[in-house]
Amino acid sequence: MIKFVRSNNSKIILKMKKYILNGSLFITLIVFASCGGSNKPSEEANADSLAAVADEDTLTNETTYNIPSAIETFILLKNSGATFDKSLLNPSTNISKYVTNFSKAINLGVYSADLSLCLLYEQKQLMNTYLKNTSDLTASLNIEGEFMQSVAKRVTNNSNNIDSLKKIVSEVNVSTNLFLGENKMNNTTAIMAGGGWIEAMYVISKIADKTPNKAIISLIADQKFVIKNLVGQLENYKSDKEIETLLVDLQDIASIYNSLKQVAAQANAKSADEGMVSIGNNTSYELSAEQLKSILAKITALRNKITS
Amino acid sequence: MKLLKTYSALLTFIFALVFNAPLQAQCKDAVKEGINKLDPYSFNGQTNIVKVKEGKQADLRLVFYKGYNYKIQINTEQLFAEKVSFKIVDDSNNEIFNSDANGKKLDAFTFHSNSTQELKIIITSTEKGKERHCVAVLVGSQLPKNNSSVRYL
Repeated sequence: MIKFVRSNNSKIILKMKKYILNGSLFITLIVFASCGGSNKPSEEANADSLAAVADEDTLTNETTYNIPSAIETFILLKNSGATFDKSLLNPSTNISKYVTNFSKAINLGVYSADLSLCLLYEQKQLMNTYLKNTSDLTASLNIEGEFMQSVAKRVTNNSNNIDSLKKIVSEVNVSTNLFLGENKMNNTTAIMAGGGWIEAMYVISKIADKTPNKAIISLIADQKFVIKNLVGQLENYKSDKEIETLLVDLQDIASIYNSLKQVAAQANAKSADEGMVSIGNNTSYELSAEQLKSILAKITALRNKITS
Repeated sequence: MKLLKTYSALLTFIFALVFNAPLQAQCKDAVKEGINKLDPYSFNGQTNIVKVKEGKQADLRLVFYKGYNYKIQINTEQLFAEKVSFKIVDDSNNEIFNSDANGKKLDAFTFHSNSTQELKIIITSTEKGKERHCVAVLVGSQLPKNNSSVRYL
């Protein structure tokens, strides 16, 4: 059973934050009383902008956005015939640069995407390195517990079984998201999603630049839908200055996508399996070489900005 | 002061447990069960949790890639399952699936995506009240069996 175990103090502090944000005056008074006069650097003191800034009760609407996970996108990349390129990963040593909660969260997304890529291409050694990085950042963001602590052990025990490793990584993702949701830290989930998407886009754009491949270019064009949802997801938390800045960069990339031309599928495109309903308008978007270069330049700049 | 701190922290913790534990447990169970129900489709790694207020509706917008078969699985606590329905609409607001359309409540929809698209999943609670319920929306994917549905033509 997936279970998070945290120190009682950090658990209590997190719950306190939740109630402050829920607007309970009584609890707020208690929290202030309990925190007053402490000289010890506390978790609430260093919990910067990633403290729960919003929850589903305070969001502007009841619409939730989500984007395909990095592994889903990388599966399409691998199916297109792309080979693994280690140089495209964010160096694991960069982890020491991430000191703010925002940089930790966004790079947790980046490293999780890298981990997915290593997993898919069965790069076991690198997988262990990136699993350690994601585990360290998770702990650093106070998302830790019995389950996370057991991950390293399970990975060692299953290092030769790629299916088991995939299952472990999937469980880590689900557990992290559940934990963040439970603790009204959906803004952290959104930032992580942003980091994961930027890294996936960086990898596929770089590969497309080196070896232009119709399938990969189509995959980049498909991100038109993904970036729209990512922006929708992050906009719920735009009161956070760092998220607002990230949104400006993403909207700059989205503006290129707005100029893509829609084209109908060729006549020989086959439909679904027998008995399976086919959904969609049989169209796709065309990405010119110029648009690809422009996207590559902007995504590289953004990726360097968040990882450096 | 130390006593006050201990007391207030304990009180807050108890309040938090009382008000949040049931919903948290619902969400975990709903997600785990939902992932199992995706079989034989491969879980895509997205943990979509929608907390639906009784009598209200909530929307979830998801992106589906061209050329794949998908299964969208809705899962919630057993008692609430009969009081929640969902429909799926495309970007032109055309209804493509309604869980209540055939008189029998369905909790999953499978389809082939012939273009990369965003679909809106609208979850509605028919229960009257003020509580929130956790609804997990899980997505599984697989390549078409005939394998002739090439993604990029």
